[in-house]
Amino acid sequence: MTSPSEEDLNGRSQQRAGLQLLAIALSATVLFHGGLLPFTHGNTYDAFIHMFFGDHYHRNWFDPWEPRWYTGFATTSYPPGTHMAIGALMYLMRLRLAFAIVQLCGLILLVIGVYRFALLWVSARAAGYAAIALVLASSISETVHLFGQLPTICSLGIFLNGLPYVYRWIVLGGWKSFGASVIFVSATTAAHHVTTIFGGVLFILPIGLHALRTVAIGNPVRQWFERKTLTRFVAPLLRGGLLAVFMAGAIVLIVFPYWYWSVSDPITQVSIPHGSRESFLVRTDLGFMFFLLPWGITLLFLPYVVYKTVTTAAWPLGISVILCFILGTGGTTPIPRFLLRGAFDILTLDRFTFWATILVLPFIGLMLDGLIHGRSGNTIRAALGRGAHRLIVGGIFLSMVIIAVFAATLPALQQTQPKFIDPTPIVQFLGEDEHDRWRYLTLGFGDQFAYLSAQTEAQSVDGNYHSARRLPDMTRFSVERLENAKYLGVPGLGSLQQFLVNAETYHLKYVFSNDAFYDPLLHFSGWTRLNRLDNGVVVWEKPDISPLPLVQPRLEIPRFHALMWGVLPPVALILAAAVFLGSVVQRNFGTRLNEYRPVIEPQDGFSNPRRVRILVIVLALAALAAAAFVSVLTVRRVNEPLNAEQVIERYFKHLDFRRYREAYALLDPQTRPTFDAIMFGWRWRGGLLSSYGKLEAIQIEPVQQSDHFADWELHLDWLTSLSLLTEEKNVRTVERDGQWFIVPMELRPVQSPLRLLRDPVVDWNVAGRRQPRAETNLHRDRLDRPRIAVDGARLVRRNGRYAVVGLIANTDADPASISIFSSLKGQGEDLAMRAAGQVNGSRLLPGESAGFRIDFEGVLSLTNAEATKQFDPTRFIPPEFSHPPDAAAIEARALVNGRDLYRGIALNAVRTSLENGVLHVSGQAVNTGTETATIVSVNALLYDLDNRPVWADVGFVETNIYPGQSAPFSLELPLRDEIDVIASIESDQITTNGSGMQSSSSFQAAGLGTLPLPPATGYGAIRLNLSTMTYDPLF
Amino acid sequence: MRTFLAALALALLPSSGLADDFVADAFGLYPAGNPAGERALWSGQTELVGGNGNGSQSIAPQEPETILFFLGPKSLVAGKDTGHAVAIAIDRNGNLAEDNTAMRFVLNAEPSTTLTQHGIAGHQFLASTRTGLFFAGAATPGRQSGRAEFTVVTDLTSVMPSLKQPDETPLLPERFHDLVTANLTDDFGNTVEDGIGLQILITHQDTGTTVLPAIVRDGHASARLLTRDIEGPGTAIAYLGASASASVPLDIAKLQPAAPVNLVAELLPEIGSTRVTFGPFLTDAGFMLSDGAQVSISLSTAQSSQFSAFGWVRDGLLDATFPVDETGYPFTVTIRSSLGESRHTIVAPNSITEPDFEVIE
Repeated sequence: MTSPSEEDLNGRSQQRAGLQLLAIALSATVLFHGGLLPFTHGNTYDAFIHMFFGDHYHRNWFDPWEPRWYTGFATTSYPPGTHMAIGALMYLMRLRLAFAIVQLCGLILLVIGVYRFALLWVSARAAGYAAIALVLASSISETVHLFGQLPTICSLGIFLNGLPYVYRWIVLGGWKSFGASVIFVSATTAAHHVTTIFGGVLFILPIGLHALRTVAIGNPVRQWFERKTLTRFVAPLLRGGLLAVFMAGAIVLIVFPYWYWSVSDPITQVSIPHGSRESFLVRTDLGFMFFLLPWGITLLFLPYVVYKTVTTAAWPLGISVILCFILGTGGTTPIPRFLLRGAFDILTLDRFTFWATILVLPFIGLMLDGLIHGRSGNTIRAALGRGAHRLIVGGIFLSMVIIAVFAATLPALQQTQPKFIDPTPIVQFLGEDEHDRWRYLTLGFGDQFAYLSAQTEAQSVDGNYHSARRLPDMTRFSVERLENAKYLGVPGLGSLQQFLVNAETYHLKYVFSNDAFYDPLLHFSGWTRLNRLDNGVVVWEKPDISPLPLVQPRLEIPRFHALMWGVLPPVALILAAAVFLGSVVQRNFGTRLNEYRPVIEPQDGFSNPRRVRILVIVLALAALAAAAFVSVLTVRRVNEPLNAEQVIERYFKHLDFRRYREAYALLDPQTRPTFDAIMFGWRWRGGLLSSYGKLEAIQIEPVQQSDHFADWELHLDWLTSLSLLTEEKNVRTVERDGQWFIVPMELRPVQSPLRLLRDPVVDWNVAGRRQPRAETNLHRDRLDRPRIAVDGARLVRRNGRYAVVGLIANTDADPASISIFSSLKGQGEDLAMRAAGQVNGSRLLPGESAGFRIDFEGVLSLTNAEATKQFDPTRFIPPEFSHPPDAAAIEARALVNGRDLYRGIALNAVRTSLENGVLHVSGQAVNTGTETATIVSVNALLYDLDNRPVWADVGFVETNIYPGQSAPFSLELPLRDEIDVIASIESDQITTNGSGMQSSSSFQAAGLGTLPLPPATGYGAIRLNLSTMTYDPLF
Repeated sequence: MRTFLAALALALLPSSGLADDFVADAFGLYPAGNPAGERALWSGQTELVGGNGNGSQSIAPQEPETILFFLGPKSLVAGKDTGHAVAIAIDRNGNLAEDNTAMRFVLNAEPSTTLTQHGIAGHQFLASTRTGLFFAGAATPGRQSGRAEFTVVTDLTSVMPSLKQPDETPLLPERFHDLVTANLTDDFGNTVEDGIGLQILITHQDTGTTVLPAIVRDGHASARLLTRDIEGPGTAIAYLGASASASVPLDIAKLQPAAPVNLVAELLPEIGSTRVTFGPFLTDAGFMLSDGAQVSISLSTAQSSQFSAFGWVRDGLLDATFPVDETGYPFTVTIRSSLGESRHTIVAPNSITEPDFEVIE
């Protein structure tokens, strides 16, 4: 049977059909993607990063040094094409609109590029369907609306538009085609060099083979052993070789400063973990994100692709698709690692899946064409009827639309970024009162940090482009950025702590926090909460940080590199645009046929409706049976009663994720109070663990068990911003009708002694300005630095870790905020300098004293870091010193501080005991004041038998304490024999407030105000000092 | 271009350039006869070039118009620290005042006069023995500096705290009690400033040590003690730096049981357990043991199985459930609370019982 449209298949009307489909695809692009872009780009991962780079070029086109991230980095580390396009458009419009316009242009180029690329393989109408399939591809939706990848889209769009010239050059020659090929490759490189490099293998090689086949068809031989059999390929191969040389030259030349930067300043950092390298069978969530979602419904059509690869001349393209498919599976199989070797840990492998979904489009176009107009459509119609045919075709398109819309709107369904943060108040703050003379850091901003950076000239120690990081403290850890440290567990928080504690080194003075999780770390590292801005962001300040030097170090980039960088990429883009537009006009917007290509022709004559019908019915029944089997298994598994340990685990996970109803359902229904009563208890108990902790692990140990009862001892590991803390708990489970439940836990029902507590408090106001004047730093408004004294300081070593410990006292009449630094010395040389971390005595009332400890954390060598893959405080690797440390110097300085000096906490019934080689200090922390103590830290300074400090540590009360209430605390301290004293630090090695003449170094007599310790501990006494964070708890 | 033409004209007309004297200084040349020039008003010895040959001229500063006053440290310890006041006198053209200009300093309300050298007058002074906020300034006839401030503060090293005996004795449990020091003064009798931090340590005979922060308000340091989880006799000492008060005896009341603790055992057959209700805990104070008081329980069954529980009194009672079915009876329960330790034997379930009551301690 002959279809009436068969005549059109190779004719002009088919060409017209292809163009009509292309027009539909372009319109859909503008309507669908263009319509969504203004709303979705703010929730993407990368959009703001590209905007930041765009802003850089707008501010300074020819200076490739960007000081605003990572204490400065070279923008030659990323191809500038798309960013320069944004920068140029910013002369006409605002940043976000400029980004959206460039992204939309990239999409339009990509649609046309896919059409032109598909034309090389399939008929025009099939190419038109390929273009439509692109618009509806979930991979495009994901890449644009979820990932916000601009250069990937733009560069691929440019690249695909250049491929017909490559094909034509190899088949027919012609210097115009050659020139156009080189120009398009140059422009692609300007936008994203990786596309050119991998595109050369994955896109151009198949086209080269396809071109050779075309040459063979155009120059047929009668016998295979004729001379012409080989000679006919010589010229095309030479042309291909010449093009390859020029392409390589263009890749090098256009972004030469990038290659120079790569070679001269190689990336020597621990690889950043990326979800695309994980096993998708283990991490099914990542498998969904990086494999299932981008493939979408196309995954079902892969057998068709394999079939066409085997049976048609499109096999080079099919092999490329299969190769990309395999590489895109990440760590699911060992094959990608075997193929990519060292590059496996550097590349993000989702890009291969993305390319696969583009390479596969000619096949999809061909399939859709066949389904709608061709043999397969006729077969289905004959076997199942027209209704079923429409259902199938409509179902495919509908599925594509649904998945594409789902991918594009996923951030709206599942929050991937924090809610939009208006950067204006922060920009205003940084611009006022010379606040931009210091660096800043954001926490909990997600990728909006990059957008904030683009709005201000102030500098940050953090950044959002990890390849440009050069600070050892960042590159040694597998932490992409400090901003999202909490999501990276211990390594992330370890890195963040380094920066917050040693803020002076980086001139880091301000932190903008959008996540209260970090409050404890900031507070107990000596940061002061200033105020909450209009956008809800809290500003934290580290007192006494020196401002940035007027002249900052920068990487010297040769002038001609800067010139090349500023000129060549945009010129390449402009030339490519000119060629593209010229070609469009010259070919009368595509209506003039001049391609010489042997496309895959539709196959004729297959029709056995009965067999097809039987096959479809059998397949459908098999699918139904499989679905039923899986459903039964799932239901059975869901309804299987949990054992006691599983109930406990699930209960605490529900609480951790604030799923209170679900947690309540696991409490013993016979004895549990009402939900409101239980909820009250959960709300009452806030503090470090409940409000600021994230449950990391539960260890459950049985204590006593009977048939229906079981008592358990739990060890709950909580990740807080301060450290990993273990909470000990006793829980009882009870079995009721074959199901286990948890017996509700009670809070201690102590009663606050007074209904109305009056407290005459002393408060301080340290006025920044005493007059309404613009000057920021009048001499007469400044207060003297409070006198402080360091006493009994010593350099010690414990478990191979060096530390400086001692006592710091405020001998002034004003309250002080104190910063303490120490330089480690060996044979007279300075080996390292660090600041006191959480054991700091940073806020002292006049007359008070506390212990301090300055740890000399070794910056891991790269080898060590690669071995451990993360910063793990429990797996300490000694710092590498040129000489063994034998001395240390201390610098302490103070400013008057009137904040965070709540002293309403007392310690009742403090007892010490020696258990399992550990000194335990425990008691009840009692709130005798009028404010809620959110977190209480207990600073302990341990004295030798000769009354000299030998160790200092800090512990935290796990729960909040309301006025009149109390909470238990417990400290675990090392025994004296674990600590070696290396040297005493004499007064000539101590500088306070810039002076070597210490004030009243004997202010605090060693033995006074201390608690005696059992001699078995090796210590003489312990001094306790309390510090309290009183901000509103999260609950 | 204009500059170039001017320079060219000057070069072509040398005679006009040489007609006047020029003053040479570090900033270049300027015509000596141009009184309108700002630099012509700069005082000091300047060199003349050109015109009639080399020479020099002296320009004297005018009368001081501005007096800049600096004082440091701005916070001085009474009778101990030395302060340094400096005044800089400047005329209307920014020249330092002539040497030996009399500068009158007002410090601690005691004026003194010093002569300037190179426009600067300095004066060192000993902080007064009286604490407080002081104003200071410097003046020449007709001109005064802006007001400067400095504070004189107490010498904390000379303050000896003295802790007062609380009025109430013994201190009742679960109550706030203020521990107060006597007025804190330094060697000169100055009362210390508000906000000074002290520490009070209470060493209990049986219940460890209590650490209390104390803050000075109105000359007295006070700390608030909540008598919870502590009891019995003890001693308190207040510490300020290297100074310690004499120890003060304290007694925190220890309640005694007014009657044996009542026990109710209830068998829970569906889970093979027994719930025991303890209480009320009656005290000799006339009211039940406070809510939140800790109680620990040990249970020993007829088969010698041991179980333990821990809890807090609520509304005078405490519930605990043990995996003891009817075969576990009779069993013995030992209760430990702040009222002491007692042992009870329960013979049968579902009965209110207090047989074999025995106070151990």
